[in-house]
Amino acid sequence: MSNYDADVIIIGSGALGANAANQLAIAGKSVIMLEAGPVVPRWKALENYHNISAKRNWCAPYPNVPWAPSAYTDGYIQAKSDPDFDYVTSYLRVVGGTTRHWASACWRLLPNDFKLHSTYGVGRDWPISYDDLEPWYVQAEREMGVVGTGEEDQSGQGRGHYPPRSAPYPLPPEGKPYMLQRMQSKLGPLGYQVTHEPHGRASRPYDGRPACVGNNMCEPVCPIGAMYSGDVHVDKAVARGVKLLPESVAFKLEKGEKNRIVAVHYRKPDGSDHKLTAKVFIVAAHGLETPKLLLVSDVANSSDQVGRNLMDHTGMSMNFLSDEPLWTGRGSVQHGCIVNRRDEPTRAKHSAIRYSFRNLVPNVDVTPDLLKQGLMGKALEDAIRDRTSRFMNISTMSETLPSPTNRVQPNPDRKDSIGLPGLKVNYHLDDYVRGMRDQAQHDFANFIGAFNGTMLDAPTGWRNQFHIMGTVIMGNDPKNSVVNSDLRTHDHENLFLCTTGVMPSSATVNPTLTGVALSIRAARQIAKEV
Amino acid sequence: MARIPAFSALSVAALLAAAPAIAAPEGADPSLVEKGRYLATAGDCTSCHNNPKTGNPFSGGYGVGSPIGMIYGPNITPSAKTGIGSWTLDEFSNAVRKGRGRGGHYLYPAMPYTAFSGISDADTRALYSYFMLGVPAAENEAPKTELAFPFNIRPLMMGWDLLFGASGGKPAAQAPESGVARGKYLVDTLAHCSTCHTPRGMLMEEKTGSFLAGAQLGQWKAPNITSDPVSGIGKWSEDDLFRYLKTGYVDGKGVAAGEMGLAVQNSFSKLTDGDIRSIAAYIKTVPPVNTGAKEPRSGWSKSAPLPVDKLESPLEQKDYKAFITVSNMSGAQIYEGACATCHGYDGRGTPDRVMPSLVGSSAVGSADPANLVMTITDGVSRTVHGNHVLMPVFKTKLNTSEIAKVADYVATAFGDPSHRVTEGDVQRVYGGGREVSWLIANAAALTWAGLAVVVMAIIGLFVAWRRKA
Amino acid sequence: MDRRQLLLALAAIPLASNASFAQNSGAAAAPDVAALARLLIGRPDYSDVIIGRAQAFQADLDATFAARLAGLVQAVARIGSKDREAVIAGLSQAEVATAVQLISPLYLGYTGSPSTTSNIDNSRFVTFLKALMYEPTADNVPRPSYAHGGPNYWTATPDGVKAPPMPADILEWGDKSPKAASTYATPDPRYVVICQGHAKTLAEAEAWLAKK
Repeated sequence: MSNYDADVIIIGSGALGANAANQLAIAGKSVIMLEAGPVVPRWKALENYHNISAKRNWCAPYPNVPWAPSAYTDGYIQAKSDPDFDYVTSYLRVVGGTTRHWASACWRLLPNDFKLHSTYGVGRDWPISYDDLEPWYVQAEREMGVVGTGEEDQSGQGRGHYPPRSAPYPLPPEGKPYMLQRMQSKLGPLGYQVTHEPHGRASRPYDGRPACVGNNMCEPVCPIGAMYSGDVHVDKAVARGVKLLPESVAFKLEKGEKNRIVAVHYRKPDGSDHKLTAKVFIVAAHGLETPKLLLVSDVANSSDQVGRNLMDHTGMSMNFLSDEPLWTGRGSVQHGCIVNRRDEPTRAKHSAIRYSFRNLVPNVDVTPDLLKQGLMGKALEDAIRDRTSRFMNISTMSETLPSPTNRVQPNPDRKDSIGLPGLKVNYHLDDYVRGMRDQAQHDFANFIGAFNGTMLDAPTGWRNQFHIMGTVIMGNDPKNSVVNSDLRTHDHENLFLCTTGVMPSSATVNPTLTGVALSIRAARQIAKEV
Repeated sequence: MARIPAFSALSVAALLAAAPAIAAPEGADPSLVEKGRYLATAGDCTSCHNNPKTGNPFSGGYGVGSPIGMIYGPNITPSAKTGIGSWTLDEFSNAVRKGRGRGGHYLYPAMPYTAFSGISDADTRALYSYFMLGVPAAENEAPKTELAFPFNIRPLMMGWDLLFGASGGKPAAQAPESGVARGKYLVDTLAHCSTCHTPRGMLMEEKTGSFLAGAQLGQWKAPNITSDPVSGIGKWSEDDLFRYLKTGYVDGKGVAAGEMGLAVQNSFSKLTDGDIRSIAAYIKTVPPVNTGAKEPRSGWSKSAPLPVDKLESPLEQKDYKAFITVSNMSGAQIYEGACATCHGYDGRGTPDRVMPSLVGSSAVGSADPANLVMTITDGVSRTVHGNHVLMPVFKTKLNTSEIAKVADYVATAFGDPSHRVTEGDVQRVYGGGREVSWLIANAAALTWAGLAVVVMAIIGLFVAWRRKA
Repeated sequence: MDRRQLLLALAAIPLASNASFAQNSGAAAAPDVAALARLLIGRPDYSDVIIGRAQAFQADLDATFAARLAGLVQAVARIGSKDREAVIAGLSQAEVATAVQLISPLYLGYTGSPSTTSNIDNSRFVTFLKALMYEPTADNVPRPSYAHGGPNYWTATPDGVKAPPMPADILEWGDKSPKAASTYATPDPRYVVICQGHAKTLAEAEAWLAKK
C-alpha cells in the first residue's frame, strides 16, 4: 500500500499536462490531474459560440468562472506595457486547456533557434540541441496528428528540406486555398516563398478525428474535432485510468525534507481546501499561471528567475482590400505563410520575422463599416460581397528575447472568488523587436503593392500572439534558470514544469509542438524514476 | 493463452521463395489463384478470419461476440502448424460448404456454411487454390472457441444441420457468369446476405418466405431489403443499389455504417462493376415481404428543424453556469452543437453532399431507431477506394439521455414526426435482440429438459452475430 | 398604414424597449416595426422575435432610439411604397441612421460593440443563423462553424471569379511548388509610406513623399 495519493500529480490539463499524463498512464503509473476550470464538452462550447455576441472573442464561448479567472476576465491581469502597445494575452482555464481555442500551428524550432546566443550573439542558448529534441518532435507529431510536408525549407534560407526530420509528417498537406494560390503567384516573383504551415487539423481521418472540411472556425472551437486539442489526450489519459479533478485550483506546493515537494493544496469553488500527496509533481498550468503558483508557494525560485524573461511573438498586422477577389475564409483559418526572414543573419540585430496569411471569413470585419456608412438594401449586400471577397490580413510572428525585467507576478491586490491572487505583468518592447519594424514595413509594402491594395489598417502598432515563453526558463546553470533540460526544477528533485514557459528562445513559431515534445520527453524520464 | 508471434506476410513470402521445394497441395491450381482471391473478397472471409493484433487478413483470432460466448475465427492461412496448410481440397470443401471441420467435427454456424453450401465445385476449388497458393502462411494460434455447456457439445449441431444446413441450396453445377442469375448466385452463396438480412424462425433457422425481410444484428438492424416498396427497398433503383454497394452512400437514401459499412468496405466495393450490377438486379427481383412498415424508411423529403427564433437564445457572459450546464439542453440544441456543423441546421448536409443529408436517409426515416442510435453512438468509419469517410464516435461525448434527445430530434425533425425516440428506446437498442436472450439464458435448463436439438438451433443465432465487432 | 395602426405602433415601442429583458426569452417585435424591418432587409418571412430582440437591445443602448424609430415608421408610411430601394431612396440622412440602427443587428447578429479581448463589453446576441451578412457570400464562404463542402473544397476557384493565369503546379506544396525569385523586389516607396502610416492613399503618399 502506497503512502501517496498517486505516483504523479499533474497540475493543469492542457495539451502539455495531458500528454504527460497519457505517457505516464501508458507506463503504468497512477496519476491525478488537477484542473482549475470546468469540463465543457466540445458540442457545448460550440452551442455557446452560436449564442454569444462576441464571435471574434476566442475566450467568449468558455465559461468565465469566478474561481478560475483568465486572460479576458476584467482586471485579472494588470499589465504595464508601452505607450504604443497594450499587453494582451489569451488563455483558457478549462479541461483541455488553451488549445481548445487555438488554430493548431505545429512548428518545429530550427536548429539555430536552440543556439541563438552562440549563432547570433543575442538571447540565450538551450541546454539541448535540435538533434536532441528531434525524436521527441516525431512522437509529439504522431500524438497530435500533425499535417505537413517535409519537402520545404522551413527556415527560408535555401537549405533544401529543412529542418532535418527522421520521420515524415503523420498526415499529408491539405489543398491550397485559392487565396494562397494568388499570394504565391504574386509574391513569388517578388522573392517571397509561400510555404505550407504545419498544423494539427487532420487532412484525413486520424485517430478517431474526422478530416477537416474547412468550417473556418478553428478558433474558438473546432466544431467537428478535426483539429487537435488538449482534450484529446485528457480523454486518452482518463480512459487509461488517470483521475481528473476538474474545478480544483492548486494554490500551494508544500515543501518537505530535502527540499522535496510533498503535497499540493487545492481549493474548490465552494472554498474548501484539500491536499494530495505524490512522489512527483508536474506543474503544467500555462506560462503565466505556472510561475504564479511557484511564486505564491515560494518554490523553485532560488535563481530569482521565476516569472521573468516573459516572451511572446509581439508583432504587427495589416488589413487591406485587394484589387482582385481573393475570398479569404475558404478552408480553415490558416494554411500558409512566408518564412524567408525566419533565420537571416539580421537576427543578430533585430527580431526574425514570419509572415502569416489569415484566412478567416471576413464578413464580420467588413460589414460594421458599411453599415456605419449608412448603406442599406442592395447596395449594402453588394458591398458586403465585394469587400468580403477582397479583404486580406497579413501579420508577423516576431521574435522576442528573454529579458529579466519582462515578468509576471502574483497580484495580491486582486483576489478571485476563492481568495487567490490575480496577475501583474510588466512587458516592454525592446530595440530588438522594434528593430524589425522597418524590414516588416518594407515587406508589407511589397505585399500590398502586389495587389494594388487599399490600406484599411496599416502595420504600425504592436500586438501579441498569446504565445507565452521564458517565464520558468530552462538552462544548465541553476543560478540563472529554473529548470534543466528534463524540465526538472533545479531546486526540487521531484518537481517538473511542463509549460512553454520553459523555452529559452521564442523564435518565430507557435511553441505548442515544442512544448508537447518536451513534455513527452519529461514524462518518459519521470516514468523511469517512479 | 500462449501466443506464437505471427510472422509478417513479407518474411513468410521470403521463406517460401527461398524454399521452392514446397509442393503445391493436390487440388490447388496456380491458374485459379486470382479467381479464388476475388471469390474470397466476395465471401468477405477476412471479416471473421482476420487477426486484429497484426492486421493480417486471414491469420485468425478475430472474436465474434455472441450471447453465449466468443467464437474465434481460426487461422486460414496455409501454415501447416497453425493454419490450414495441410488440409485437402475435400476437407476444405467440407468446412466451407458443410460446416464440418477437419476430422468431421461440427462447426458453429458463425461460419456461414448454410449459405456457402451453394458454391459451385469449381469456385470451391478456386478458393482452395487461393488459400493454399495465394495467401502467405502466417503463424498464429488463434484462441480456441470454448463455449459453456451445452453449447460446447459440438455433435448437438448435427440435428440443426440436418434441418437447416443448406439454405444456400445444393452446390451449383456451374456459377452463372452474368445477369440476374449471377446476382442470385453471389447473393445466396458467397455474399451470404441472408445471414444478416433474413429473420430467424422458432429454431433460429432462416425463415422461409421471409428471405431478406430484415433481422436484428446485434444492436444494429439489418433491414428489409426485399422489393417491397414500403417495407423494403422497392423504391430504390438498380442504380441506387449499385452506388450503395460500390461506395456505401446514396445521397438522400442511405449510408452504410456498422457491419454493412465493413461489408461495403471489404467486399462489395471491390467487386467488378458487372457483379455489383448483377447483385443489384437480383435484389430488385427478391419477392416483396411486407413487414408492416407504414412508409418507406428512405426517401423522406421534408425537413422541419426547430425554427431559429426558438432555437437561439442569448447567452450572457456573467451567467457562467449557462456555459457549463448541459443537463437542460434540448435535442435541438445538442444537434446544433454536435451535428449541425456537418449535417446542416436543416439536416440537408452540404450542397456538394459530401456531408450527407439526414433527410431521406434510411437510418433517420426508419420507425425502428436502432441504426440511427447506433450511428450516433459508434459513428461511421468506412474506407472505400482509398477514401476514408469518418463520422466521429459520440458515445464518449454524449450520455444515453443526450443520445436519446438528439436521436429524437433528428428522427422527428428530419424524418417522420411521429417517430419519437426515448431513452428507453436507446437502452433497448443497446440491449440488442431480446427475445433471443431468454432462450440463451435458459439454454442449460432447456437442454436438461431434453430439448437439446432445439437449443442447439439457437446457435443459428450466432450467424446473426457473426459480424458483430 | 392607417392612423389607428400607427398609434398602436407608437404605443408598442416604449413597451417593447422596457420589456427588453423579456425579449431574451422571445417576445416579438411590434407588428409595424417588424413589417418595417422586413421591408428594409427584403425578407418578408424574417422572424419578428429576432427583430424584437434587435429593437429592444438597440433601445437599451440608445435612449433616443425608440422615438426616432417611431418617426421612421411614420416616414416610411408617408413614402407609401413596398419597394425596398424606393423606400431607402426616400429617407433623409437622419432616418437612414435610424433605419440602419434597426437592421444592423439583423445583418451582424449582435448589438453594441463586441470586444475581442475582454469578457466585458456592451454587446448582446441577437441571432447567428439568421445574421444576414453571410447571405450575400453564401456561395463562396461558410457561416463560420458550419460546413461548406467536403475536404479541400477551397482549392477551387471561387464562384464568380475568373482566375488570372497562374504558374503550373500552383496547387502543389513542397518540391513541386513554384519557386520564388531569388532576390527581393524593392517596394514602391508610396506603399512603404502607406505601411508606415503616413498616408492612406497613393495620392496622399505621393504628396507626403514630395514634401519630404
